[in-house]
Amino acid sequence: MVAEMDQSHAAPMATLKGPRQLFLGLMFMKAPLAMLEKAGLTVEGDRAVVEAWQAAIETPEATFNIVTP
Amino acid sequence: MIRALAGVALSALIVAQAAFAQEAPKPASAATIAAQKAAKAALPKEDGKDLEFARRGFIATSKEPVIVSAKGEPLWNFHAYDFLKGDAPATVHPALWRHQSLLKENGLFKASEGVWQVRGFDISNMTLIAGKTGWIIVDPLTRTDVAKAALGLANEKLGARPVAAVIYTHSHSDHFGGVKGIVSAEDVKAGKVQIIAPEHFVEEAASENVIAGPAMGRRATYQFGVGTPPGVQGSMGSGIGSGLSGGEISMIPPTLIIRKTGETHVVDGVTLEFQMVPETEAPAELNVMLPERRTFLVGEIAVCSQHNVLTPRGALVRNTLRWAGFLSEALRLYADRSDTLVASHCWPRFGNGEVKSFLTAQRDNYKFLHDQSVRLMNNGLNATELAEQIVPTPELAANWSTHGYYGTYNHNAKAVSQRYIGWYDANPANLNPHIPTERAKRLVAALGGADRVLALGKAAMAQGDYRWSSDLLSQLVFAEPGNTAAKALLADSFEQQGYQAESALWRNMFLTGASELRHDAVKLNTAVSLDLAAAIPSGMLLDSVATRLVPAKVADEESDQSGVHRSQRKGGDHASERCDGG
Ligand SMILES: [Zn+2]
Repeated sequence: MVAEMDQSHAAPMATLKGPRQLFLGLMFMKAPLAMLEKAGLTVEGDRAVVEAWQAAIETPEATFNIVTP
Repeated sequence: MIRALAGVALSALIVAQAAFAQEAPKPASAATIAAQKAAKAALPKEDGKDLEFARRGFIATSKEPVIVSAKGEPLWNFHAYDFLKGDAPATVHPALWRHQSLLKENGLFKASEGVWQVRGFDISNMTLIAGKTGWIIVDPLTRTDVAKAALGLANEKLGARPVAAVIYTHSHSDHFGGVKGIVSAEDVKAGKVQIIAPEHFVEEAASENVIAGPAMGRRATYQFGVGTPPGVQGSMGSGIGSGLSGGEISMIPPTLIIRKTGETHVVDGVTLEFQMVPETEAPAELNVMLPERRTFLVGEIAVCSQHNVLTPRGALVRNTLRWAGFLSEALRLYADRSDTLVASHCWPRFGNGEVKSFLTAQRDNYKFLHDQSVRLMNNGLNATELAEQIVPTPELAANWSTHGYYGTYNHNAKAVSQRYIGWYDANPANLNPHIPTERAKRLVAALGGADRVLALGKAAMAQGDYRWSSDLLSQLVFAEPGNTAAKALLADSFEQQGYQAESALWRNMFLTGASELRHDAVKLNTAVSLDLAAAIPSGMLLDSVATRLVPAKVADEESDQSGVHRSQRKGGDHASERCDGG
């Protein structure tokens, strides 16, 4: 994944717009897209692409093992 | 110097500790008793100065034994280290015992004319400077409730004053996180309170936890001994303070940014002369000279312990050479004009001679550490080998303040090597070894099987060679994670290493390792500080989320395999985002 600030993609498959906290919800809290849309996030283009992208984001295991494998 | 996000996570754990059933720790072994005896014989001369300095100017302390949140959760316990009386028991290194006995002192103290400190209300200190109309607060602790309690004590004992300004010495959360406990964002916005910070403060404060945050947070539970309560067989603080407070971490962005050494501002009638010390203990850091009060305030580059060149929970390696250089500069620019030195951790130094000798010893220690690590590195020693050879000079060894209660010569020397030449020791045998579990299985088999390794581990422990027993038994645990005898014995071995450690962090890490072998790990609460999350630049959030993408889960619907995401900020603020994916 490559992120470039203040640049528009020539032919985006999907475009998301909304307040910052909804992006945090999408990427880090992994809130359901439908819920975020109700809260004001808008999705233009292919919604399935956004859902697939979100599904590919993992939440790190906060208590990973150290002294055992 | 703790991390904000990790810090937030830890707050809930402090409360959880009480319910954490601890298997009875073991007593000190004969080898540990002998090691503590040898350590005691090698201690610097006790002249009583540190205790006198730690208590000088005492006015009062909290009437409440514990600071609690509005919901009644305990956030800070003033009596956690009341057991520190008399000589060190065999389960605690005698220098660490002495050190934590000093750090446990708490209350409001007068440092110099018009300058006070609240110490022992958190891991860090709050410094209060009386201005013409109100307080100039340097470093408002880590959490809002403890900060409020600290300021409350000062107002009660010294007369209530409004807060005129707040200085953040650096970008670690124990130096700004309590700010909303003493001022409101509205008052700052209205111009009633000035917030002063070093250049790049906000970016550094927000970003330090983002990309490597989860790894650092987990590792921090070892470093700070979360799940290992204070005790003669438990935690002995953190080496620069008694522990981490609980509660909320806040942040109000600065209104005045300091960019240059020598930059001087008169704030509420008080002259503040700044020294920039970036990329030392923190990426954005400053010191403050108060010329009218002949007081020099160092944030955290000179404290009562050797600091970390690379903090064990993980960070970018700090620049030791620069660190020593800034201490030389401080000696040149401020020492002659200072009769008192206060820092954001530990107790002050009183008297011009004390200020000079303290700064000199601190400078010499970092310079020695850097130069000798590099010398040995250039002679071909790898990190482990050179760390073994860094032995302080007699002058440094005789100085209490350069000892490693926090950072150590051992892990700092390795860090210097890492900064210059990285993890690879140039021996191809170490270029591509098997991963730990696979290597462990082969080693255990080569040594004759699990029972034999267990017996070898026991024999090493009987000899007091805990470095070897921990190494051997860890191989066995990695080869056979279900081997309960190996886990129990490894826990015992770690425990003795913890008891023998002069560094509070080493002690915490060994004892936490032992605890996690005996019980499950303490679960982490991964909540984040909302103020800090709001300050993270949007580009950095996208860079961070990119590090969380699982390749196997990325569907091949994207024609552009790079998965380019281009974002736009609307109106130059962070209120609204746009993200195009293609
Ligand atoms: Zn600190």
